[in-house]
Amino acid sequence: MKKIIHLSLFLGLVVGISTIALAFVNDLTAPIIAEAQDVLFAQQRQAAFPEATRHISHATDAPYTLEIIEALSGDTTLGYIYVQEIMGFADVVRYMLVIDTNGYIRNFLTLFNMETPGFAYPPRLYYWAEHQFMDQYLDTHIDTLAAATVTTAPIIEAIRHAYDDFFARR
Amino acid sequence: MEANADVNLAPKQDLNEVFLVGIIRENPVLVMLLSLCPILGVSSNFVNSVGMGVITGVVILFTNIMISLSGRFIPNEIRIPVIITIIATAVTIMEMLTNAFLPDLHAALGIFLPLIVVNCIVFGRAEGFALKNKLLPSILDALGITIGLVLAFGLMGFVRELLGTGAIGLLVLDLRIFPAEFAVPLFVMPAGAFIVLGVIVGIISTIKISKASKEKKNA
Repeated sequence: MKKIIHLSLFLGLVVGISTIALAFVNDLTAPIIAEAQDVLFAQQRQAAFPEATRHISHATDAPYTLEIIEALSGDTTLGYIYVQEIMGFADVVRYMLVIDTNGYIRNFLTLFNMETPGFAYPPRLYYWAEHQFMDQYLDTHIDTLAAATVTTAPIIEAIRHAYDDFFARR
Repeated sequence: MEANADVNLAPKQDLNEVFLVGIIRENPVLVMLLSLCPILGVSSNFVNSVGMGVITGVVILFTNIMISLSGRFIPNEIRIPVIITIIATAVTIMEMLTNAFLPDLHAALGIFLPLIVVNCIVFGRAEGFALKNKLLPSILDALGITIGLVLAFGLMGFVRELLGTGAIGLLVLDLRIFPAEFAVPLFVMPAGAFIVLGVIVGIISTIKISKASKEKKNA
């Protein structure tokens, strides 16, 4: 019994010291990370509709959707940006789904992603391969999106919910 | 706190040997074939590959220091959870620091960064070396292993990026060695990682075998 208490106390001490170290580093880095994410969010929001002059945030109860942003040029609505978050294979994946007023997906901008680095990152690397891969989808209509993996399945479901909201809004 | 009688310190070792052994002769990746998952996953780019090697090396250094300082006090029955806790702390700290100060590298390494926790080399050096040795040999061991890791990751990243894109990206500098039309994209894809690693390991094994047979003949 004495031995078990001794071992538990030792392990508790190690965990306690680790927690203090992690809390200290988190205090140091959290504001920097949050600031960088705010900057990325603003950049991606502007990249979604470069011609937008203002944005209006709408509350929503659509599943997976954190925020809906209406992009406007003057008083004309250009489209909607659905900020969504799903649970992927490794961690949460946060992104902006950009839908124009005709109902076409104009962009898919990643805000946070910890999935296995894939074909698309970093863009410079796939100088030849990526261009060939991406070019085949330019100016084409995609009828179906397949969801074959742990990460893509909830993304497809989240996109469907975004469209339900979009059509209700329109 | 009482010292742990179960941990016997290793006999005094040649410090030069401790430092040098991990660089080439017992290179953790190219000779011992550890850490294969991250090297296959992130070595498509030279800078990211070196970054992964350095981050893993810093984790090994931190862990070796902590374990060699506290090793005598760690009860043998709970040495594994204690070592894992220390490694997990080091990895989480490195992940937070990378996310804050090197966000591009953090995004590029993705899931491979937190997966350093389960990297065999980190646990192996902590449990197999630092637990039984004093501070200085543990630091030298970690530095030698780190250099070995960075060499292996750097070599893989260099060869794959060069053959796959025809250029080497050095942060802001993009050194084009040959035109992109002559590059073979296969080398920056997963299959290319296996081919390049296989060829490098094959070359090193051939050199080792021929060296050993020469020594045998001379003897």
